[in-house]
Amino acid sequence: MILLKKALRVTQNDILNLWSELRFKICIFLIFLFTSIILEEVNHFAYRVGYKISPWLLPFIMNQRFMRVILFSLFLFLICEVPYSNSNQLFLLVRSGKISFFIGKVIYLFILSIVYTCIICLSSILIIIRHIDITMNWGKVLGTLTLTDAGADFNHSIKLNSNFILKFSPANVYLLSFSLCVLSFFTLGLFVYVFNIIISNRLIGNAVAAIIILFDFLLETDIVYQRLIYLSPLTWSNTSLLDLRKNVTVYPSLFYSICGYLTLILLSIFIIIACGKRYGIDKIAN
Amino acid sequence: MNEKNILINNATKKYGNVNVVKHVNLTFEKGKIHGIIGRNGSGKTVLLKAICGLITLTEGEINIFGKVIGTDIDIIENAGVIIESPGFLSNYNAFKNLKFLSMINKKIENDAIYDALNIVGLEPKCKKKVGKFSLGMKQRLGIAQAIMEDPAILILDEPMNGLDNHGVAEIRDLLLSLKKQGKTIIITSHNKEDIEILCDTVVEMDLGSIINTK
Repeated sequence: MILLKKALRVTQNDILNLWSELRFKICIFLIFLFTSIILEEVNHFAYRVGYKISPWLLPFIMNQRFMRVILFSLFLFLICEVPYSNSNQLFLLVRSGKISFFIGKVIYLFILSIVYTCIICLSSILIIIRHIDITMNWGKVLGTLTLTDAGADFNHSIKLNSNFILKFSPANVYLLSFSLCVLSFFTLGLFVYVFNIIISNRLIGNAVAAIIILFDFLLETDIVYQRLIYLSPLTWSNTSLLDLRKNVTVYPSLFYSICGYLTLILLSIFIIIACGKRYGIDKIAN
Repeated sequence: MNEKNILINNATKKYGNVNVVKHVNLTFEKGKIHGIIGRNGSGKTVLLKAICGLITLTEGEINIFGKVIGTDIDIIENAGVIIESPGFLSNYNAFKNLKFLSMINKKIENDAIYDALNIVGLEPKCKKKVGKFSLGMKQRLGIAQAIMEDPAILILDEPMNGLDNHGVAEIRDLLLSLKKQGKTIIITSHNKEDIEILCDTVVEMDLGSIINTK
C-alpha cells in the first residue's frame, strides 16, 4: 500500500510538471492544427448544405491513416524519454525507491494517454464549434458523407465507415474508439519505456516505436498483406480495420484487440518492474 | 551485522571495457564527515551513485548501516542526496519544487521547507522561477532539498560548486553543525581546501582507484 501511495505521488509530480512542459504545449497546438486541417472540408460541406455537424468525430479521425501517424508520432515526441523525463527525477527516485518510481511512471503514462485522447476529442469538437449540433444521433452531415457521394466535390479526407452509421449508436462507437485510443497510446508508451530500460540507448527505443507507427501506416495500403494487422498493436485501435460483425472479414475481432492490448500492457509492466529492480539508472538515463 | 558504518567492499564498476571504479574498499563511520577528492573523471561521482543505489556495481557490494544495496534495499534510505548538477522543475519557484519532493514521503510540513530554504540563504517566499536561478542559487536549493527531511545520511557531490566565498563558508558551517547532530556526511570535491577543512577522513581517487587515505 505504501508502495502504491509513493507511486501515485511520483505520478502526481509528473502530472504537475506536464502543464508547464513546452513539449506538451507544442503537442496541443499541433493536434488542433492537424485536426482543423482534416476537418476543414467537413466544415465547408456543413456550411454549404446548411446542416450542423454532430460531435461524434473521434472514431472517424482515428481511422484516417495520416492522422494516425501524426497523432502517434506526437505522442512519441511527448514520452520519448520515459521514465527519466524530468530534471528532478533523481530526487524523486531517491525518495520513492525504484519500484514505486517505475510504477508511478506507468500510471503517469496511462493518465497521459487518457489526457491525450481527451485533447483529440476536444479539438475535434472545438474545430466544428460554429457548426456543431449537440445530438445523440450521427446527424445529417456525417450520415450524408458516409452513405452517399454528396461530399465528393468537397474532397474531405476523413475516413467514414458506413458500418458505424448503420449498425451502432454514436455513443457506443465513440466510447469504443476512445477506449481503444487510450489503450494504443498507453501500449506505445510502454513499448518505449521497456526499450529505454532494457537498452541503454534511448534512440533505439524511439526508433522501434517509430517503426511500429510506420507499420500501422503501411498496413492500410496495398503494400503489406493485411493479415499482418494481427501483429500491429497500433492498428487494433483502428475501428475500420476491426471485424465488428463477428468473423465476416479477415480483420481481427474486437475481442482480439482488447486481449492483445491487455496482454502487451501486462507483459510490459512485468518487464518494467523486473528490469527496474535489476538495472540502475545508468541503463535508463544514458 | 554492521550498523555503524557505511562499508564499501571491492566495489567495481565497468562500462564496456572501461573500469570507472576499480576494487574500492572503504569504511565511512557514522556521525562523521568524509571527503572524497580527485580530478574530473576519477570515479568520485560513480562511486557516490553506487552508494545511493542509483547504479549497479559490476562487482562488490555496499553496506549502509547493516543493509546491503541491491539485496536488502534498492535505494539508500533516509538520505539527502545531490549528485552532479541539481535538477529542478524550471517553471516553479524554490518552495514549490521542494514541496513537490516532500509530497513523496510526506514526512515534513511547510515549516520545515521554509527552514531549509532559510538555512541555505534562499528567500522562502520568493516567486522567482528556478529556471532563472544562478548556478549558486540552484546549488543552495539542492542542499536545501537534501537537508529538509532531516536525513541521517547526506551524500553531496561537489556541494560548493557555483558558490561564492561567503556561500562556501555558510555551507561549511552548515555541514559542521549537521555533523554535530550525528549525521553521516560524504562529500566530494576536486578542491582539496574545501575537503581538508571540513572532513574527518579524506580519500583521494584517481582513475577509479583509491590512491591516498587520510
